[in-house]
Amino acid sequence: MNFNDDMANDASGADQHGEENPVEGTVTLADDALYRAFASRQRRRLLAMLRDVGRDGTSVDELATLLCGYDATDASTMGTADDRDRLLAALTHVHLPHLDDVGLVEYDRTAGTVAPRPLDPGVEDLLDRSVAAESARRRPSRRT
Amino acid sequence: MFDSLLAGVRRRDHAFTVYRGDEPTDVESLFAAHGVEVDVRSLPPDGPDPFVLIETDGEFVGVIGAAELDGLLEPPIVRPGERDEVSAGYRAVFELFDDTLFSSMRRGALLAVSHEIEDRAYRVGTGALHASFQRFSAFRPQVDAYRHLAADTDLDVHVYGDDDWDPPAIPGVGYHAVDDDELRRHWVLAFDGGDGGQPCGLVAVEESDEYTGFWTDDDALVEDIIAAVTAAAA
Repeated sequence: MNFNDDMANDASGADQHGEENPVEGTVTLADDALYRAFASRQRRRLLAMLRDVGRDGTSVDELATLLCGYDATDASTMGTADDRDRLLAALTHVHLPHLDDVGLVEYDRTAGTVAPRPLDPGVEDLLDRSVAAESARRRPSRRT
Repeated sequence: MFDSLLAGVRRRDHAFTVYRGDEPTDVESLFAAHGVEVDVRSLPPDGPDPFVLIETDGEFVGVIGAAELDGLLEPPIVRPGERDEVSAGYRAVFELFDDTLFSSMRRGALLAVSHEIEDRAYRVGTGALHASFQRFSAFRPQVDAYRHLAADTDLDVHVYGDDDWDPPAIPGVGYHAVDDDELRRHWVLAFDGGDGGQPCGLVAVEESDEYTGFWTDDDALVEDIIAAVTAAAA
């Protein structure tokens, strides 16, 4: 029934992120854990990029490279192997376990892969706003 | 001699991956002009600005913004105030692009690489700098820069070229008129590293307004360049 409703929405092209249907068991704006997860810029970046990548997810190595690219383009400098090693360590020891515990991503330590989990619409919205706020802050400072 | 040096430069296994959205970046055409193949990976829309991943022999060696790398490889005219910043970037590129072969390089870009080599010599302040300008008249725009270079340092500067102009006497700068067809066709610059500095050099050949050649940080290769240029002048 729910499944059929979703199908109907898809067919009409109206459904994007299931706005009207909160996903059960996911972290919501009422959870302290959500704000702890969102308290780190790196984790917000990870969530936004993982959402773009889609449900198949990507490798931890690739995420480290992307975060390193973020820092390098922000600072207009060369990101070094040391920089990336530090990011990789932070990913595997801090950020990904954290996001996995909260239920925002699915982190497979053995395979070294990460996939996004369906987000509560309110969380989705918060992520959109944080992404927009960050890019608004970065763009004006960049040369054209 | 220079042609064989050019031919002998081995190409290390550098791999470049451009992370970007649908729009190609300027730096990709620069890579293409240098005969360097690049991979392209799609960047998440909510990700960073386009950047380039550099790997050597399969290992990560760096990432740099596509715009920054473009600026490094195709520098604007270097104004005095920007000199330090440009040099720092070039140092990074030198470290990453050891033995960099290039083709179809424009004169401006080659000048920027030359400035980096001269800057290194300036910073170290000792040792010998060898510069072949094809013709002495081509040295004319550089006279002031070399006057500074020689006056501010203990560098032993050697300038080579076809004797088509009388360059002014500068203490610390020796002129070597060459009557060597091969040397006349090449743009050669080499610094021996002085006391504790890193030797570096470049060899380029002019082909219809563009240059093909390499620059290098390889000690032995720099020695070969210096041996070749001094032999051609002897």
